[in-house]
Amino acid sequence: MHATKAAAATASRSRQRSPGSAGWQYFVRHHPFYVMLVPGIVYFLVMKYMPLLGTVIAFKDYNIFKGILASEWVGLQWFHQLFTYPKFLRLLENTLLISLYQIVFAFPAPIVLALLMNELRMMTVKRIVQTLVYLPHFLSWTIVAGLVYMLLSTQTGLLNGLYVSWTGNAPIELLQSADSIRTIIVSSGIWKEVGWGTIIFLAALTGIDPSLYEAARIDGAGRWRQFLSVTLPGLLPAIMVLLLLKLGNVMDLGFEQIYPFINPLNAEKGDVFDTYTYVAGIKGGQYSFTTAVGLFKSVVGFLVLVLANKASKAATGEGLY
Amino acid sequence: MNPVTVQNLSYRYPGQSAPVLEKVSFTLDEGEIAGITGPSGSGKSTLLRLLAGLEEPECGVIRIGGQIVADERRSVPPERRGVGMVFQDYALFPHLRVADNIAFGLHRRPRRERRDRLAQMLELTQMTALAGRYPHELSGGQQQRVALARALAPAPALLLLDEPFSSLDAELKGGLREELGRLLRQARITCLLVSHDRSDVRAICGRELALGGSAGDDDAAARRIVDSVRVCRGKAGDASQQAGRIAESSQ
Amino acid sequence: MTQAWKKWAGCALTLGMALVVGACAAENEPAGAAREASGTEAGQSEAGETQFRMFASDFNNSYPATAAKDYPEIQYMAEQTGITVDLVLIPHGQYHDQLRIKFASNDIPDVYQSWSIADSEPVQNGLALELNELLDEYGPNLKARIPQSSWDAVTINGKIMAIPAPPNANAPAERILYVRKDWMEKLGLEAPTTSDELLEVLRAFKNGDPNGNGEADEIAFSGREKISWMDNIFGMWGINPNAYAQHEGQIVPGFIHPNTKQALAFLHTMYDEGLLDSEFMTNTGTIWKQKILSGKVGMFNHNQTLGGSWFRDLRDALPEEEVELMAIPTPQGTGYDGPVGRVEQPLGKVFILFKQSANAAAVIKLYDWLVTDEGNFFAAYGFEGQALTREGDQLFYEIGKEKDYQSAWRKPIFDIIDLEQVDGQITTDEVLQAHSRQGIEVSLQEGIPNPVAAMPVPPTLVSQSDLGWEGSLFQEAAAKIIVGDEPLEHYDEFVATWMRQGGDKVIREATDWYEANVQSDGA
Repeated sequence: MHATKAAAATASRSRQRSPGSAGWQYFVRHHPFYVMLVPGIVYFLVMKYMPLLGTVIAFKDYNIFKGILASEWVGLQWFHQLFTYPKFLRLLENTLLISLYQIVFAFPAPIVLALLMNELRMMTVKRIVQTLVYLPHFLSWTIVAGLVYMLLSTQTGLLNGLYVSWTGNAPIELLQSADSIRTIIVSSGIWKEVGWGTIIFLAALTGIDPSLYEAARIDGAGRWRQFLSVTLPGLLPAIMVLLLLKLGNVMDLGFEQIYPFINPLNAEKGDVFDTYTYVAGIKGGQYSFTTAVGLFKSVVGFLVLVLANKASKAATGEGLY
Repeated sequence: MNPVTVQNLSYRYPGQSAPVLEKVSFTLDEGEIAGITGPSGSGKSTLLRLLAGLEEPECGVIRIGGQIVADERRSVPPERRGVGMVFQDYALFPHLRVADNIAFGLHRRPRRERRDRLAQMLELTQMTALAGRYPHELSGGQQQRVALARALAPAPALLLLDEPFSSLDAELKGGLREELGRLLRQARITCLLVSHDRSDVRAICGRELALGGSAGDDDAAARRIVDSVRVCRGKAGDASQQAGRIAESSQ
Repeated sequence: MTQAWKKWAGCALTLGMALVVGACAAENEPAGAAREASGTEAGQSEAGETQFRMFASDFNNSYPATAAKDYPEIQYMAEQTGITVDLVLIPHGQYHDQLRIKFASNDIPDVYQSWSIADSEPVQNGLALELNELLDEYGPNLKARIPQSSWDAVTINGKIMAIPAPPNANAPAERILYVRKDWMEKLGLEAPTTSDELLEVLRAFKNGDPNGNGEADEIAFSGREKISWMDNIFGMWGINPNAYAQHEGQIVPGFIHPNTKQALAFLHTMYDEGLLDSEFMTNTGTIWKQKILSGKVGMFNHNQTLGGSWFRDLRDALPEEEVELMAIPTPQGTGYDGPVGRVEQPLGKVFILFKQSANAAAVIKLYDWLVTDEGNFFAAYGFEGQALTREGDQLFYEIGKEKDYQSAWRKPIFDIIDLEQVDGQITTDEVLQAHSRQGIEVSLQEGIPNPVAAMPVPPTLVSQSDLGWEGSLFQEAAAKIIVGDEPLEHYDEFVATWMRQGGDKVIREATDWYEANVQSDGA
């Protein structure tokens, strides 16, 4: 009786201490884990968040010789310049269209290839195929552009050479034509990255319980039904995560992928925000303006990501967070 | 006519020299519930898989419903064999609800028939109230019932059950054993059940086939005849006098 | 005890890692963080001599893979002058971009090389050093030997803002037309004097199979991406797209002058008849050079002093053909009778010093030595035993041989003047010499005056790079007209659009500068 009273008193006393103390005690007790987190947190703070502060130059007239702090404030001037820039709509259209083509064509390509590769039974063949399809990923875009040139040139290209010798017609202009530039960009991107992209999907495929396939077969499911009922649902988490990440990058098209292919004759359909910011920013020295463009892109990408994540969770139950 | 006939079935794992099943022969009667027992590694699950069509026999003949489904030359794939199977871990499709899982094998039937059969199965396994749930929202016993309903829905000629009780704890087992036995008899379907636990088999099955050599447990319940099927572990043709023969039995 | 020790060791390790990450970041602080006296301190090289840091283009030459102070040339110059050059060579194709990146990340040298002060951001931002006093004290040879026109081009309001190098061979019309002389002779052609005659020559190149292989694979004229290296074609009508022109009392970019329309029409005709390289919009420098050296190209546009090296390269690449190369004067465009060719550049290069540099005097001293006879001799010809060889009492110089010794980089940066008393000491391959001479002669006979050579880039052009000659407006309009995707009249629409998007401001700013700085001098 006495003991319990004393115990209750102690208990209430400890409850009366400041609310944060329980959390602090927890922290102290488990401090090794928090200490282990510190390098990671410092890394993110220093390498990712602190440079974000530099985004402020989007609202200033940044002069590399005055530095960030001493440059003048100009408010939303650069954003105004961007939205009234005569080619803004063209950049937006090209960026969104090429992104769309990539989502529609380049995103499923590794999935299809992974499914095909999964069917290979002979390990040696499978290994050889895997190595071959991974290789283009490691080439730089400058090299790939050079390869595309060697393929499509009207004078020395392989494809045109074959075409001319078979049909006797004049060679087809592909590199300097606005109509073919998006196809060239997306296709060369698929060729380069499809192999690398299969890695994640192959891993996901091996994670699917084989007895699900067996159960499906026993219940009469043919190949296609097995794919719809077992494979696709098994891949769905991986697909959704990757798709969401890709959507978040809808405005980022990889400058290196596009710049080598652009010339004034096809710029109309190929010039995107990233190539524009390079030309205007680095070449033209307009750091502030191009930072504003980058900020605009990031905000749009962020909004798209948030919306897509919500939609994905509602529709499929999978999401990024 | 016996719905299931197995003659001289032999199988070895690829790359192994010793066959895990050798010259296994037995027949099952219509509506009969038979159990297969034996120590681990004696080939019980392999026998099921051969019957299901998931593996192809090295030699021997399997007949289901009077048709040859597997012999030395050809093998009918599982999609077309008309066999149902309940897996050890149930293998329910995680993204489909209970009703859709059960109706999975019925997709070629007309809609009305599908609906009716589904209702029938739900009724049989007493899962009607839970038809809208997902597999991860069910208990072990409930999942087993769904797996059973799914296997039974297309009215297969043969039902195979692979260690149906191994995923369940002992308390659950007792009651479920009774229930499963009752369900199977009610469905009047030819069954083959595999278990490492002989008491499971004795509780449900009318006949026990023991793989692996130790013939005849002395515990002879009145109506059971234990047939012993000898598994040869030596080279093929070695000591073949001991190859198993199955005596036709009666209940 | 061991357990606790391990735990503390682990904590210390992770905290240490965190500090390292933090330190890395501190090193990479962007330029704006702390702007004290950055840049170089008073440099002392190992031998206790003075040194300075310099950025320059590598002009596509190779160089040894060691630190600059270990280059033999740098060491020799240090022996002669007591000054070591800490030279940083930057790839020519990305020179301006890399410069910008370096400046933006606070990597500021004592001096850097460029081609004019007009587009120099340090000059525009008041960070360049005025050299008047230093030149008086340390640069007597510079003042005496570099022509006044070059000094004028780097002077703003009486302040000298850079060390100028006069144009190569003192020939300011620095780009000319080269043509395959053997093709001309084979087809019985004379050097064209009008644009129509030029068309005839190109047609003959295309249809007459001058390379004799039975296929019509000749490229009559080849240019490079961004509508570059076709200056002298435009120059037939007195304008260059990448320079300014005078029109009705105003200073306009060359591509706005109405004569551009005629040049574009001409180029369109060339393209239409297959006389212009169909890949002119995608040819990089490398690809363009390869096409020429493969013997397919009949005519091209390049610098005035390169006749000898082009001839040598062609001869080496096509030994079975009897290749011959010559420069031709720029023909006169139809309906135009003013000066033709390249807009004159009074400067070959400039060397701009930073105010914050502590070693400015050393820079001036070194360059002063480089315009003395001995200095210029070394800068132009290098070490004996490389491209320069002694035979008896004759000094023989083989053009282009420096490549084999990775010392070709030396010439564009340090050989800033042509002195007769220096060049007269050298014998060189007479054939190559004759070719170089011929190109220079042609260049000296033509050229379009350039009254705004020293003009800084108009501010509107800085903030709206689209309006420049490399900007998308001109590039796309011109490209479309040339290939025929748009009719010639599209040019007028382009000019109107250009004006509307800010071009009129560019014209006003340029004209104002001209009136303030040139007209008032009565120049």
